[in-house]
Amino acid sequence: MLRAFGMREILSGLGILVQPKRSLPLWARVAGDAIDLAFVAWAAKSKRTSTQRLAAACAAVAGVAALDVIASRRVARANPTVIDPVIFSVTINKPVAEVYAFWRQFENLPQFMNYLESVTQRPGGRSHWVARLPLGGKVTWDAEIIEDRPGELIAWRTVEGSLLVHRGEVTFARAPGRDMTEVRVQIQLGVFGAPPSPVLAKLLTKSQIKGDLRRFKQVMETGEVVKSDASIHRGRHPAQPSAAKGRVP
Amino acid sequence: MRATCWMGKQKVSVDQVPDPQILSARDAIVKVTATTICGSDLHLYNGFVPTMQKGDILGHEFMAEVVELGKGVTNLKIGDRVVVPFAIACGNCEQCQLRNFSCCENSNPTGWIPEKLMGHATCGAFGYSHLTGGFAGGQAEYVRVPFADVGPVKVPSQLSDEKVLFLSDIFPTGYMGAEMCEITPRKVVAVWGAGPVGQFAIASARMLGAERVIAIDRFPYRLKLAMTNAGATDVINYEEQNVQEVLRDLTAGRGPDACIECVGLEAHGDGIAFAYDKLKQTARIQQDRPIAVREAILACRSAGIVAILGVYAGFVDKFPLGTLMNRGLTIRTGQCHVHRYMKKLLARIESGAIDPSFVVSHHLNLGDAARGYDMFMHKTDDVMKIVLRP
Repeated sequence: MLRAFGMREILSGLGILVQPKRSLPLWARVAGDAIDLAFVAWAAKSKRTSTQRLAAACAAVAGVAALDVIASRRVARANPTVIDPVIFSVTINKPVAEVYAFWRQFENLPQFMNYLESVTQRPGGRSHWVARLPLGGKVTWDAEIIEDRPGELIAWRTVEGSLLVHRGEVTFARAPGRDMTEVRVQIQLGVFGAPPSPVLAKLLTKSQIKGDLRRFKQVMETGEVVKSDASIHRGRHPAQPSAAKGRVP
Repeated sequence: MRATCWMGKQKVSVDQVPDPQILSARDAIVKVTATTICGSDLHLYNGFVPTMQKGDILGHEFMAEVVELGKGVTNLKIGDRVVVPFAIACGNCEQCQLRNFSCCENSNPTGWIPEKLMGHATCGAFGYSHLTGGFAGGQAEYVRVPFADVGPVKVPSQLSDEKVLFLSDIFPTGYMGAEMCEITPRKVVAVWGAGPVGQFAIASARMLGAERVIAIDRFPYRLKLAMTNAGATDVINYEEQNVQEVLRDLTAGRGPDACIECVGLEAHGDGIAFAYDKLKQTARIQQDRPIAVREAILACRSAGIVAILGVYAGFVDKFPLGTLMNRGLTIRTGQCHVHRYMKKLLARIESGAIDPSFVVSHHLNLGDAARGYDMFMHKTDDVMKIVLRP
C-alpha cells in the first residue's frame, strides 16, 4: 500500500518535470492529496490511532494540498491551454478546379467516405446526409453551407436540431510548383448537445478522416477506391480471395 | 484453386482456396504458368516481417496468361502471355509519373500500417504481408492483378519462361543496384551476397561496363556461378577470408568505388557483430541483422556509393553513421521500381546480351512449395533459384 502511494508521487513528479508548462500533472497531485486526506479520515476511525499524530498528519497533508492548488492555478493561468484545430491533409495529383468541383458535388462523397450511404443536396445550400452506424442502423442529419469560395474553400455546419452536431471546412490550394492540389480538412464535432470542438473530433474521427482522405486521393487519381483481398473485409482477413461468389463490396 | 499459404513461422502449405475475382475495372485475372521463391520470401517464412496472417498467399515473382479482364484494361487481351512486376503501381500518382513506381501513393489499401511504422505508406505488393496491402500472391494457380493496365508486360512467345520470368523482380532489382552505382569502366564494384539478386547485380554491373566486379558470399557454388556465368572477376568467401583486408588488397588500398548489398535482414557473418545481431533478433528487440550493410559502408571508397538492395524491416543499431558522414558516402536504396526496367531489360534478353535463366537450379511443382522453402532456407542441394509450376 505504502509503495503504491510512493509510486504515485514519483509518477506525478515525473509528469511535472517533463511537462513544466502544463497544469494537468499538478492537478493530479491535488487529486492525490485528496486521496491522502481520505485515508487520514479513515484512519481516524481506528482505535489504535494516536489523535496527536493524526492531527499532525492531517495538517501536513492539508498544507501540501493548499500549496499544490496554488501551484496548479498559477501554472494554469500562466500557460492557458490553446486548443489547436485538427487538420487532416492530402495532396492530389489533379488541378485545383477539378478537385474542388468533385468535393462540391456532395453526392460524390460516399464514394470515399465509406460510412456514408448517401448525401442529397437540397435548394438553398442545404444537404441531407445518411450514414451507416458501425453496428447496424442509420443516422441522418442536415447540413448547410456557410461559406463557398470556388476553387478555394467549402465550409458547412449541421443545422439546428441535428443529433450529430459538427462543422467542417475543406480548403483547396495549388501545391508549390506543381499543378496538384493540397486538400486540408478541419472538423469540429459535438454530440449530445455539446458544442462542436476539435478535441472530440480528434478523439473520434482521426483514423476515419485519414482513411477518407487516402480513399479520396485514390478515387481522384485512379478512378476508384483501391481494394486488396484483405482490405475488402471489415476486420482481419488473410491475403487470399474471398469465398463469397460475385461479391463486389 | 491451389495456392501456397503462410501458416506460421517456417510453415507453408499448398491449400485449396477460393478463386480470385475481378474487384475493380482495372483488374486482370491471370493463370500463373511459372513462379518462384524469392530470397525475400524467406524473411516472411522465418517470421521476421510483421503483420503476416495465417492463410496469406505468398509469392511475388510470376508470369502468367491473361484469362479475364476488367472493363478498364484495354492494352491486354485474353490469352496474352505476361510477366507481372512484384510491385503494384497505379500509374496516376506523382511518384508513378516520376517513374518511382515502388513509391506509388495509391496502391496500398492498408497504407496506414506502414505509415505508422515507417512514417509514410509504401506501395502495394503481391504476397508480401499486410504492410504492403494484403494482396494475395503469385505462388498460386490464379492471381488477381490490380492496375493491369500499368504493370504486366507482354513477352514474345519464342522466349522461354526461364528467360523472362525474372523480369518480375530479381533481374530489375539487381540491375537497379548497378544503375545506382553510376558505373564507368574504371569503377570497381563489390557485391555482397551472390544469391539470385546478387548474380543479377554482378551481371548488370558488367553489362554497364564495370571492368572489375568482386562477389562476396560464403557458399563456394554461388561464388563459382558468379565467376562462370554472371561475370565476377574476383570472389571472396567471407568464412575463409577477411573481407575488409581482401577488398583493400584487391583495390590497392582504395576500397571499392561502389558497393551493392544484396543480402537483407537475415545476413550471416562471423565474429561478435553477427552474434550480437542474432541475439537481438532472436530476443525480438531488433528486426534486422544489418551485418552486410555495415561491412559495405566500412569497405567503400571515400565519396563512393553504397546501394542497398536487401530487404530491411525496422530499426537497427551500431550503424556506422560516422563513417558515412566523414567519408562522404552516398547511400542509395529502395524497393525496385520494376516497371521502369522491364521493357528495357526484355530488349536486352531479346538481343541476347544476357540470358537470365543461368540462375535456375531447380524446377518443382507448386505442390512441392513447402519442400522448396525448406531447401532454399537451408541452402541444400546447391540451391540457387527454384521455379515452381502450378
